[in-house]
Amino acid sequence: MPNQIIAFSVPKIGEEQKNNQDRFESSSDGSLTALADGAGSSLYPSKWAEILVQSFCQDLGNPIARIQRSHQEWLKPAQEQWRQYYLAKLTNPNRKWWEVGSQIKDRGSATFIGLSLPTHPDSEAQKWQAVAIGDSCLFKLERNSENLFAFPLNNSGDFKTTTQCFESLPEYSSFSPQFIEGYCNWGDTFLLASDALAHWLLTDYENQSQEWQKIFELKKIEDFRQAIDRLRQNNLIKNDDTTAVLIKPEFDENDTDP
Amino acid sequence: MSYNQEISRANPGYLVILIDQSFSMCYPYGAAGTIKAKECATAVNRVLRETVLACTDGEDIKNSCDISVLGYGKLNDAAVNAFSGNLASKPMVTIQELTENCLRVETIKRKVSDGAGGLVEIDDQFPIWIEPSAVGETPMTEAFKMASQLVSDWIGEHKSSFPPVVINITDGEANSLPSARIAAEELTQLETDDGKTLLLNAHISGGSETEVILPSSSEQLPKGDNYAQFLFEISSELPPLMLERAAASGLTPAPYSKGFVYKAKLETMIQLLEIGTKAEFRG
Repeated sequence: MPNQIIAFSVPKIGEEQKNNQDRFESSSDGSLTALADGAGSSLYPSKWAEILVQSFCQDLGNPIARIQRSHQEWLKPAQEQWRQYYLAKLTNPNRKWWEVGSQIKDRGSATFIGLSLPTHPDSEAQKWQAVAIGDSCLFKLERNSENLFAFPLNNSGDFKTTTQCFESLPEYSSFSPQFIEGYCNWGDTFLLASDALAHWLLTDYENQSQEWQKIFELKKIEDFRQAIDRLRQNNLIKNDDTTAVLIKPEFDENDTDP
Repeated sequence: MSYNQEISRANPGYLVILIDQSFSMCYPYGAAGTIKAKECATAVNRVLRETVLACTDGEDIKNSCDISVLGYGKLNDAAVNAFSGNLASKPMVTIQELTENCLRVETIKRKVSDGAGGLVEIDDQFPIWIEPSAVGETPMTEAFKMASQLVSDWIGEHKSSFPPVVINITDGEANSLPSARIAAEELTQLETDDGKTLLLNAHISGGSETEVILPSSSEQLPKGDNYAQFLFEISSELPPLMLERAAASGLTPAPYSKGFVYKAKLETMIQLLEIGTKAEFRG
């Protein structure tokens, strides 16, 4: 049975969904899930975020192993795809002056988190792997547990106004991503979150509140929207595009634990 | 805590630039041998362009910042809207209005890699909104008063926003220091829920005197210089975001540095414009 994946995303206050620069994707078998957060100050960031998550989830091999070997090599086809999109804008005779950016603003930037889960009960003892760049985060909550595992940032103080990104042109060096792996058990839930939600989750967890656990129980976009609206009204979360992707691995209870 | 509100369509920012257009602005300035008025107009046009670019992701222009540019000097007893053409009757414009209503466009060639070892040459366009002007005296009081009126009206509609940022570029002494001081103090008392209006002053000079950059104490000013003292006193302390930006641009601000440069060379004046606009309006 494919892993169960539910995704929610809302734009920042005053913006429409089409302006939301977070993008998420999952593979058809549910084994790969990714979230990228396009940097609003960069050029065509949502296009770059979209290309990144699709490149990860449509990778027929093991994308995390390929990124580990060389993230620059793994990024190249995605960067070429973004460049062609940009060149089409540049050479459009009807383009507006602001559509081509500037000498400084000439590329997209995005944070990224990608998760690989087993899909077969006999998969190597339910091993999961993740790759991350920047402040989009992975959380893992085990069944009947209140311990929140977070990666790559695990402290609310780690969130800054600037963060590391994958760049859409190979002329600019992209930071090296971080990797992690572990084993999952029946009933575990994974969550991919863009930075505003990730920051709030860690802050709430550090404050020993129970509110953060409700995010793991969400089933409907209306409930997610209401939860984020409430946090925004109380100034508890940054006004930013906010995305949560919940993943529940589906396998038999007897197949867990290495 | 103040000066934390993010600029967005829901909570836009407001940038007001005041340009001294008095007669002395026709004196030489900068290494290119041009005059102060021309260099200032060029710098302001570049800042406006960068601000527009900051309000777009390439697909769409976001009205996340309102803009005013006021000139003072053409009339002895009033400041005027420095925009002309279609914007002549609009002393405050949205980013969308600014984008669609420049006076003309200048182009510079830029080469972009095609990813296959070749280069694609494109025309980078530089809109011109502000023309240089250098006539008359220095009615700075009137500039602060006009800015106050605009800022007050704007705050009435945007109480939750990051407070307005006012950047004053001048090369000479105001017609009346006492009245200019009162007008500046009234301007900087206007506030949103996120803080008081910020006033940054760039005093420019084409001479070879030593510059004073982002002073935190009046002891850093030239001894006995009442005009420097005046501009220092009316300038706002830079909030943390702008201090960070100043440090990132290679300057060495102190914790209580004010948004003030004195006898500034062209590069320093541009740096102050960057500090005042980039941190807040450019994401």
